Amino acid sequence: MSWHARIMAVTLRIVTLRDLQPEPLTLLDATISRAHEIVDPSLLALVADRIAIALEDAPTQCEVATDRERAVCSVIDQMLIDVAGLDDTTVQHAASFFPEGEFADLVMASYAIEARTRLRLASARLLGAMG
Amino acid sequence: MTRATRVPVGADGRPAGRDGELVALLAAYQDAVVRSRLLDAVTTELVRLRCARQHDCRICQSLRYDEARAEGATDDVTAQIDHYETSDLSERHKVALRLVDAVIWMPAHISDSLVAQVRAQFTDAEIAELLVDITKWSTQKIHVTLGTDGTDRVPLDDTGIALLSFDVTGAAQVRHT
Repeated sequence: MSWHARIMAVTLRIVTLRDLQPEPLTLLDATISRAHEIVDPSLLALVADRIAIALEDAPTQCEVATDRERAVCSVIDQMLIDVAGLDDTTVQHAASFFPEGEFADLVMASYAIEARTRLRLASARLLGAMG
Repeated sequence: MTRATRVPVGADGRPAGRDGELVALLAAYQDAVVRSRLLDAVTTELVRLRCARQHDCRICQSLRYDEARAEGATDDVTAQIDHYETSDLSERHKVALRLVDAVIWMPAHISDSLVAQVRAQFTDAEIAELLVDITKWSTQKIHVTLGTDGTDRVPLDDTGIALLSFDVTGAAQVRHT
């Protein structure tokens, strides 16, 4: 590589969020990986779809086919937009479809995916990329 | 809005039956964010409390970061968060709070104007810390969703406040004022 090309590469190098905050991002990735091991894949795909729709104006990829999925979507959609607006009935109805602990796992998994999405979008605007 | 505990909880007041590894990894994420200390404590506290107000997390709103209090985040300062645009807060702090709102509402649509403001006030490393701070202080959305954000286990004083601090690992400690 010529000196000119090297200088250009250094000059144009994009600072990524991962360069600047490597440990948190590695742990967030690990959280999401664990979520994929323990949460129903179809539900996690549905959640990821809802997050993409709400935060990225993405076209929907998943069909909401069951009462359980509809109940989960009601919670996730409100959680994404304004969590304070969630009411007891909506959450308790969704939780009733799950054995103890599994609904909380789904909510944690959803938040982890949401957080990574928000970090990716914001770092693209402010830094260049998440990395 | 009043909020009931919406899922079964254990003796610690936390949701029962959760996956221990998932809980531990998310906690480790939060602790790692707290260990990053490029920003001053006052900025961190203003960001934390703005997230708490936006998400209406009862526990988070009841806490005050003791290090930030010592550095100037008094009740008079934190009381300005809700109306920060017309407040006496510094421009740096106002920009930080604008960024909180933008990331919480529509991070894909952060305006060019706000990008310029953020870059004028903060270094790249500080911006990175602000971003992970916002997501760390928004993990409270999990507790708000599940209704496990009640203050019944928090050692509140007569004014409804308790002090928050962090140990060297980044783990939170809460104590009476």
